[in-house]
Amino acid sequence: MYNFFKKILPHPSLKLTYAGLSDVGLVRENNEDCYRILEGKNIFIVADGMGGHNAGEVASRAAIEVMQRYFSDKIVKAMRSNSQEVRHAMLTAFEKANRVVMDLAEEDGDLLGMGCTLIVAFIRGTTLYTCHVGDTRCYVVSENRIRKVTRDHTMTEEAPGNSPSRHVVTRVIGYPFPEPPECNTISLREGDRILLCSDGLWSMVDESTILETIVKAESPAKAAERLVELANKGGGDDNITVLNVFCG
Amino acid sequence: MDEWALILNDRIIKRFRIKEGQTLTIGRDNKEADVAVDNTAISRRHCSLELKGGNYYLTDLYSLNGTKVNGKKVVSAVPIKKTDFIEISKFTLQPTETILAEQTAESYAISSNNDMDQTVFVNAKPKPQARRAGGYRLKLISGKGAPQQLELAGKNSIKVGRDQSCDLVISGFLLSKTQFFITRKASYFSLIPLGSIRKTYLNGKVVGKETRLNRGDEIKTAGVTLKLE
Repeated sequence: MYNFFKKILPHPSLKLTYAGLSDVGLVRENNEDCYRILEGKNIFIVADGMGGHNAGEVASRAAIEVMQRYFSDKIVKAMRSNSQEVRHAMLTAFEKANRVVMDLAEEDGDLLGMGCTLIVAFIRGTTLYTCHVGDTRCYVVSENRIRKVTRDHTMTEEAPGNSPSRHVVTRVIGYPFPEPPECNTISLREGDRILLCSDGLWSMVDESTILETIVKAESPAKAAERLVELANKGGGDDNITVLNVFCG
Repeated sequence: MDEWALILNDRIIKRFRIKEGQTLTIGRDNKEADVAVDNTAISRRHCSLELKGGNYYLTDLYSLNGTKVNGKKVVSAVPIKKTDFIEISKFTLQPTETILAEQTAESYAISSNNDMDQTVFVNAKPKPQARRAGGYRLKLISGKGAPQQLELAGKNSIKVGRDQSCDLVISGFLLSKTQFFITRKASYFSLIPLGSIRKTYLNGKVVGKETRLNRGDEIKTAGVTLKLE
């Protein structure tokens, strides 16, 4: 009965403003990162491609295209009904994206070995759902504090001591998942600010600077611009992608 | 043109391609070696691999930890076959095609270019439980539904209910659009029932919250029985 009333009563929702920005950085020649905002669906996606030549680019774009097609109006409607549906839809979307990227790599020898890290964020009422593989991160800034929501799927975090480099990821689109993608749920309050970013940002800019920049920024677009600027100042070794969502 | 891989502890550390007529030096030094591996067990210039007339030749470049082919230490240039067991210090060298054939979809990995700072992927060895979980399937024993059998390999979340968007569509009186979910955990599957008018039973008992599933379990709801095999 409680569920029934919850369904018919309007869900409290946050007014969202958002903006994304992707930059090639200072070292790389092409941008293998990709982001997408599904307007009106409150879905935000960031992917960071990898693999030689232009294959990383192909992987991240293909994965995002699949995601966009999968999150149809019907699926999103189901996702709004309860959190289990959200989880299911996100995991299914990841499976589909993974399938497509693996098939593409198999068909074309030049693309062999390509892949991408991927994070999807969905906001339903006052709850943030994230699902990710790899080392693209989600941060939530709440009352002057920054919290890393996601766990990186890298050698450093999953098997410390055995790592040649922090960039070695253990779960990625384009390869069969050794474990399911990671899902996280966070409740939001008015004034919270969400940041999705590729490793090009967090490896160049430390958390306290990120926090300060986001708190000070008057709009998501300004924050994104400033963060990309900072990452480039810090070296710009990798492609930088930033997606900001401000609640209320 | 063939692709080779350097492997350590079942993980591909480095992949590289070699063309006809080319000689590639494998070593630790970024500048002196064509294939650089950042590991102290490898000498700065460890060994070289040559492809000439369709045949491969391996030469040890006076490395500290040595290069072995089928257990024998390499001194001068030796012809090698793709099936040979090649050890470069504690690494093994193997054509990627044979690894992919051996491990198919289980555990392979890649590292691209000579740039250690680039994002690379290493798939950790699959846990034995995870591999076992791959063989599960959901079978429809009684009642109306489609498909009759659903392989759970590669699936992380399965939706069962009346709606057409479900992975397993079942029909019965007053069933919900989504009756329950089956989701993959690290090493097992678990059943998540949703609040529905028709209850979901696991082995004859009502399930109210997330419950771990075992092989052979029977899930029953509104005249439909499913078995996890």
